[in-house]
Amino acid sequence: MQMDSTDRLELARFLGGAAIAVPGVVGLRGGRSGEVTEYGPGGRVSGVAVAAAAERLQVTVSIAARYSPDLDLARLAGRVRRAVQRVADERVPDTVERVDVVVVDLVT
Amino acid sequence: MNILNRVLVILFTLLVIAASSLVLAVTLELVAPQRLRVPLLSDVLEPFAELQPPPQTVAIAIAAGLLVLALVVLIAELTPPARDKKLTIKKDDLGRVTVSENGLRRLVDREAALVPGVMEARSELYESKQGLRVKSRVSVDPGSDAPQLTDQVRDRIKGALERHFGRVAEVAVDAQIEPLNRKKRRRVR
Repeated sequence: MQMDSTDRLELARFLGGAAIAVPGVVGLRGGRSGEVTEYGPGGRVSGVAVAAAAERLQVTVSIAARYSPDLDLARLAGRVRRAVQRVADERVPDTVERVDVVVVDLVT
Repeated sequence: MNILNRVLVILFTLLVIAASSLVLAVTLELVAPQRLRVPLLSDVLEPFAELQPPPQTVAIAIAAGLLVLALVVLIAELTPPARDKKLTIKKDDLGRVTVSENGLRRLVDREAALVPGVMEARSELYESKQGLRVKSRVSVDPGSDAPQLTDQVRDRIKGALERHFGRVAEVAVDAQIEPLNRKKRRRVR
């Protein structure tokens, strides 16, 4: 799947929006040196990286979660993954092969 | 910063290092501009060779300052950032779910702090072939039953890690009466 950096940046914006809308997600985190950041002309999206893997795309979403005593990280990550995959399927059907979720921070 | 920006910064700092080194060498009369055999460079550096104090001292100070600054930036750019280790919670065909060691440490500390009587908690995590190991230090209320509290904290952390990772972790808890930032004086296992 060939996508230029402008398309990837736009896709990353939508995917980041989907992730942040999941209850329990406080925000997106790109990492200290921007490891999980999508760069493109005129902007960047911290906390989302879209990489080409063979014919399809691989998305990494890096989030900060809200801590609560009944927090279940696996379940939260599953919801983020489904939300991101759903938006990806709407925007670029059958293109995103896998969505990796990294929980990098917990916020009270 | 992406790779292109990083390469540009590295090239710029190398340029600054070269320029400031040349200015220093010429101003300190270590090298004569004519010996550089690059006409344009010789012309540019010629005025520095003719400087007398105090302008000479100012030029040396500025060139040395720029050299040091450029070296610091270059070292910072070339040093790989310390990576926060990731622990895998789940992996399947759809993707991988990981949690950073820092994130997990915060989770463990918060779970420990939820036990009544625990004032503060600080934990360290180790992942080995045998599984996840947690070493937690907690500061407890002086009026509390420390050994009982230690067991409660251990059970709480174990329960939380089993819930998130679905696997049992080895948890060791040290309790102390004093705040954690002070040296340990009394330790209760």
